[in-house]
Amino acid sequence: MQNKIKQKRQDIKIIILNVVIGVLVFFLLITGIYALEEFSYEFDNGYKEDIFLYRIKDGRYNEMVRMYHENEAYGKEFDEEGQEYYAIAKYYEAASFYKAFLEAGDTQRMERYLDKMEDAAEDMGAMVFVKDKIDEKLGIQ
Amino acid sequence: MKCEFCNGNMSLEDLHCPHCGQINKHAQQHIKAMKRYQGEFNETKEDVITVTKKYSQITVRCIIIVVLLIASIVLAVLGSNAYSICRDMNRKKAEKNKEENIKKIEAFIEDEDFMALNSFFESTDLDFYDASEEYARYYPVQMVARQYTGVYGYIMSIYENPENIEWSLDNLSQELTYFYKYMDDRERYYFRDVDPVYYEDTFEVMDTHIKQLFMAYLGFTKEEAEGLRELSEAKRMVLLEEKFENAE
Repeated sequence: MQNKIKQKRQDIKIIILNVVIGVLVFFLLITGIYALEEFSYEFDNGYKEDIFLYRIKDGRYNEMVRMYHENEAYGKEFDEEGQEYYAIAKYYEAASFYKAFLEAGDTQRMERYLDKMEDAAEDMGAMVFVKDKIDEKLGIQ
Repeated sequence: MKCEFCNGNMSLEDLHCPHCGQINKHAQQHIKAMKRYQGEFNETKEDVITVTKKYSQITVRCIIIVVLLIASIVLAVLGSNAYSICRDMNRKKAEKNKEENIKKIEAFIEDEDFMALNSFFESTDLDFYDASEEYARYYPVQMVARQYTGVYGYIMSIYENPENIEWSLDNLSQELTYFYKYMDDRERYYFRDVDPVYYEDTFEVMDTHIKQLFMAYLGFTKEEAEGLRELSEAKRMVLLEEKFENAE
């Protein structure tokens, strides 16, 4: 009889322990997902292609310059279409300085940035139409 | 033992006397007792096995609980320190690739590519106090390049989006203040023990760029652009506001 009471107590203990294990497994899943998300966030530096596309659509080329440099620094590579977005950012940056040094009469710098503009324009591919928009925006003839 | 009927010798295992054939009561009692003891023994044995199994199950579950707890704590701590861990990893990587990185820095400076330089420094997560001497030489340039990037961004933002002008002017004024402060306040910690050859010329080039941008995009005259560095933050702000009031 006493043995049966003992066994019942142990059965209850096992059930309680199973519940605790269940709760801890759930908790482990949560903390695992949390850790994974935190590390993904930290390692996923830079901007995605669609952010560049939105900037192009809105004509906010100046913002693309910083975004491009950040992506370059973190080694974020894009496919062929994405490389065209980078080319737009490079073109805008070069063109903005080209105009500044053109007006200042700084020929050496002006030519350097003109070369950069030409190189970037070659990489624009299907997005080459943006070149004219940038030139118009910056007042470059 | 002796038979109670014929007094003959018999053993406890003999159910009947081998001499007279009478029932050996002792043997029968012995067998009954053995059966009872065997039953109790088997019952006890089963109880022991059952209890032992259950204790083992409890022990195993306790071990699993401890392991799960430790794993959860480790993951929670890792997750909350992800930023520090990643920064440390970036810094170690930067120190490992020091030679290659210094060449990159010098190339950026040579090309006057200060925004790329700023982004590059940010990607390494290096800190002045942690960095080796080779990197520390470029910290004055890095500090100013950060502000240079900000000033460029606000100048072009004002030029392209004049509707957000108030917000942009405030920020431009602040960025410009820090741009010149970080350049001119030679008491700052990052100038200590750094040869001016690593920053003087670069500062002049960055200043030239900024002045040209002010002239090309914000309508500053050469004199106004040249004078920006000497002005206080308040006077710079006044000048910027006047420029845009006049433009309107």
